[in-house]
Amino acid sequence: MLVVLFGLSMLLCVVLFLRPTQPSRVLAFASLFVLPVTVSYMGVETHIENSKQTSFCTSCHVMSKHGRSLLVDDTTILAASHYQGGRIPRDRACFTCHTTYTMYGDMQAKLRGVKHVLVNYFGKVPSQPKLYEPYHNRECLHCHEGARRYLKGETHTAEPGRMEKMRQNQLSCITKDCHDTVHVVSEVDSLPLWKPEPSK
Amino acid sequence: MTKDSQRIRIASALVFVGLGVEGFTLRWSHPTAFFVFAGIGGLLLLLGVLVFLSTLLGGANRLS
Repeated sequence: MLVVLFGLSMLLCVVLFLRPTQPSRVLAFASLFVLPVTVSYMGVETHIENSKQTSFCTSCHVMSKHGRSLLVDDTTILAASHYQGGRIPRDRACFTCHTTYTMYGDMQAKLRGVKHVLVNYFGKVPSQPKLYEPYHNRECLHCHEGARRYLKGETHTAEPGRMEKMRQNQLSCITKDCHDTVHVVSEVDSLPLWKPEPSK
Repeated sequence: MTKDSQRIRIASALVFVGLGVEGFTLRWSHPTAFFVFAGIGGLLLLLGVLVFLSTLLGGANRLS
C-alpha cells in the first residue's frame, strides 16, 4: 500500500514537472502537498515500527554483543531464556523488555534512540552501554504480574510482603541472587550459541 | 515558461527526490535510515511543499 502511494505520488510529481502550466489547483495541491505529506507520515510510522525489530537494535556494532547474548546456549541467562523460550516476541525482543510501560514510554525510547545514533556518529561511544536508570520491575511485571508461575514462585512468596515490594520496585527482580544474570555481554564471545532446530 | 511554472517544476523536482530518498530508506532497517529519511528526504520534501505553497498563496496565475 505504502509503495503504491509512494509510486503514485512520484508519478504525479513527474507529470507536474513535465507539464507545469496545465494542472488544476486541486491536482497540484493533491500532488505537491496532500499526497507527499500523507505518504511521509506513513513513512514515519513505518520507520517507528521498523525500529522495534531486534535486527534493527543489534545492527549497530555497539549492540551486537547484546544481540548475541540472546542466543547463548544457557537458559539460566535471563535474556536468553526469554528469547529462546518464546516468552517475548523474538522479532521484538529488545523493545519488549527495554521500552518503558508508561504513557509516553514508547516516545521516550524513540527519543533516546535518536540520541544514541547521534552519539554513535558524533560523540564518544561507551565500550559498555549502560541503562539510564536502574531496570524497573514494571517492565517485568507488565507480562508476569498475575501469571500463575510468578504468583506461586518459591522465592516470590518467601516472606510476606515481598510481592508488594517487587510491585513497588523496592526489591528489584534483577537483584543479586535473583534474576541477576541478564545479558553476560563480557563473556558472550566464548559461550556456545543455541541453534534452533528447523521446524518440521 | 512563466515564473510560476518554473516554481511548480522546482517544487515537483524537490518533492520527487524527497519521496525517492524517503522510499529508499524504508527498505533499509538501520538506525541511520531514519536520519536519512527525515534529514534528507523530509527536508527536500518540505522545501518542495513550501515552494509550492508559496507559489499557490502568491497567486499562481497559471493554475486554473
